[in-house]
Amino acid sequence: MKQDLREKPFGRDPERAARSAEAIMARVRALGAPDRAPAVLAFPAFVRSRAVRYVAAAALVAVLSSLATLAVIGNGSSAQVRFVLEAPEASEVRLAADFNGWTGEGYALERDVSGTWSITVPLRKGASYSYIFLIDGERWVPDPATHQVLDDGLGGGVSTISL
Amino acid sequence: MMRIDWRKAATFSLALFCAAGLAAQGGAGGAGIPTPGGATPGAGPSQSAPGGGVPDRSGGPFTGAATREGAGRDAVEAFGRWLETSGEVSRFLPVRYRLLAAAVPAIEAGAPAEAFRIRLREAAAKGASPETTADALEADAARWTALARLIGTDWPPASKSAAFYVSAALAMRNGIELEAVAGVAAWARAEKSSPERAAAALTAAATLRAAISLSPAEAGRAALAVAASRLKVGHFDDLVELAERAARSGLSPFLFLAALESTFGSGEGLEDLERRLFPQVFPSGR
Repeated sequence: MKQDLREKPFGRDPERAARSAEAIMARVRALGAPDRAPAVLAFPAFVRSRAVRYVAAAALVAVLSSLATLAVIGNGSSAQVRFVLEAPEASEVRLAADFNGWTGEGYALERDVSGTWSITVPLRKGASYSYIFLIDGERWVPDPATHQVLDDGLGGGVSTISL
Repeated sequence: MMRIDWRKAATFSLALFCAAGLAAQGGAGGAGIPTPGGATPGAGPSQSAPGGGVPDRSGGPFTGAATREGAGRDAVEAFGRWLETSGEVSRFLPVRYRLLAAAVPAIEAGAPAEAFRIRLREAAAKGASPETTADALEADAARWTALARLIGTDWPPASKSAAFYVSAALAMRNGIELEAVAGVAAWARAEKSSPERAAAALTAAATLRAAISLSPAEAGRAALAVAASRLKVGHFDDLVELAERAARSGLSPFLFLAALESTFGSGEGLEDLERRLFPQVFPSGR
């Protein structure tokens, strides 16, 4: 046996190792160390599973990245654009534009007491947009407040704005 | 403590992000900005870009042409079905064959079918008559066919192609020549500039042309100068207003364009152009 240990310099007698470990643990118990495992190890088994840990880490990274992205967007890659139309006689005004598929759905302007209709829309900077106002669902007009009206090929004009 | 394998976690996160990015691209052809009312903005069906969607870089010219042709045929069929069945453009059913006949050569040349859908939705929103709409779409289709043959299908990227083509048609309808549009596209591609900037420059040039009566050739030069300038897109409208002010003060379109090209060509900005146009207001220069 001794011969074997000499031939393997890192080999160790298992009985001596067990005795040594037992002695160390006895000293630890004498110091009053708690018998139970630390709280973090008391989680249910599914929390300790590898897949859950990966998902948790991935979610953390995703949240941090999303926050960074939102910070970039908030730092000026989009602008709040207010579209205004004076139309006291109208009962409904919608904004139809290339950025909403020309439907005007969800883009109803709000009327104030003087008959001014307005809506504020967040738009991405770095592009130009085309738009018109749809009045009462049947009449459409380009923005009278801007000279930047181009021929739309459909018998009318379309307003443009660059951001 | 829970042990986290950060390397595997990072790989997993990357995969999640790629998936999210693909999903976002497929869903939104428009600006992708939330609507104030909470409705889904624009875009509608995702673009079935013929050729432009999946540029063929692997095979030889024959393989590429065949792939584009197949993609174009699919896009034409999808567009035809949409024309027949979509409620939002049902008012155009009487002219659907004219619309389809106009769209086929353009889509097969590489123009995005989504550009036709955008224009038809615009016409529907404006309550345009079927005949007027067909006339307009036939004219746009001719422009798009020629443009697609000039600039090819690799640029703009599929997600931005329809918006660029619609803007290009708007510019051409308002006096910008096809060659100028192709020139701006070639510049944007070479300089890795965004299709949105190229489109905005074309729109600005068309507006400039209308505002101060530039000739089509001059407006084309203005488009390229504006696109290649260091001006932010948000200042393009200011440039048009400056041009109108210059015209009101008696400056000829030719001189305005010369000043614009000289100023932007030397890397200067809008304020420098204003100083050159109105030296009496800024006598001390800088």
